[in-house]
Amino acid sequence: MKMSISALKLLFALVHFSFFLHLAHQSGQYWFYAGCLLLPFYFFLPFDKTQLAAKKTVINVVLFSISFYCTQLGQLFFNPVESVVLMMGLYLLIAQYIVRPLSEYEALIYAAAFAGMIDPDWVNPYPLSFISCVLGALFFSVLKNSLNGIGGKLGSIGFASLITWILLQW
Amino acid sequence: MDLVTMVEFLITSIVGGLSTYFLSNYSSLSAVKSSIIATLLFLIVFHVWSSFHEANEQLQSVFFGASFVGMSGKKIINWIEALLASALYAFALFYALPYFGGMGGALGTSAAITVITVYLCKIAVKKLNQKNVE
Repeated sequence: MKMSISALKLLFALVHFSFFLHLAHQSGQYWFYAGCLLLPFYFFLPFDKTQLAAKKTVINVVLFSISFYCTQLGQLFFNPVESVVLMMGLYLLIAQYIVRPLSEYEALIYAAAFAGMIDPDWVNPYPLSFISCVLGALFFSVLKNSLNGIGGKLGSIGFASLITWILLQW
Repeated sequence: MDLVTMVEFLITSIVGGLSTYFLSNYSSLSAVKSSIIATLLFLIVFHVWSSFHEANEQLQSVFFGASFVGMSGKKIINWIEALLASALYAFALFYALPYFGGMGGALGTSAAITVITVYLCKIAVKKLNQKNVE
């Protein structure tokens, strides 16, 4: 399956639009909408097509889920930032010394860890959080060749996977 | 929030952004590893510091978020632009961080918006310069 570059740009802009929308709603300060003025210029960002391969996407879903739930588990003992850093530290040690093939998935696992920073109380009913993992892995797969070198791309993927839960907070 | 908090945010963000930027672009470490190592070091220093002095817990989020800005490649932004993006990120977080509570990926999304803003400004300036030369 292939997505056109324009569709990818639109999808990414929609994710950031939801972010501005949520901030404006949460804060009641409508100047957050000013951020939307930036969105039409996303046309100039470096996007590229990605071919979705079924096997690779399934692996991505599995790894995304593991990272997501490990970060959520970490939140029982630490704050979200500490939870992500400790989980990723553990992952890097495992990928370096025990399961070396895992090291090629570090970006995916980091993106999933950002998604895992969501407050567990926001995800209700909790078993449906698996949908976020599938969405996150799909977003990661379609944006794999896009926005390379732009910091925050992985965080945006994490946010995109959680849009449903975030907008349900309204 | 006051001026002291703003300065704390600014310094933490610049240190977080630039340390990750230099680690990821000028060492053998990948962007992900650079971000994690820089944040881990910051967390250690933060915990040692906070056991003796009063410290703002939000600085952990600021540093972590700024490290995403620093994950940018040198083909996208140079170090001066990374510094600008980190400073811009500090100002953005100063106003937006109170509304991030519980939301996953918010720090990364805001970092992406900051980097994209700086990158688009860079392209605009380049195009304007080209037009002037012609």
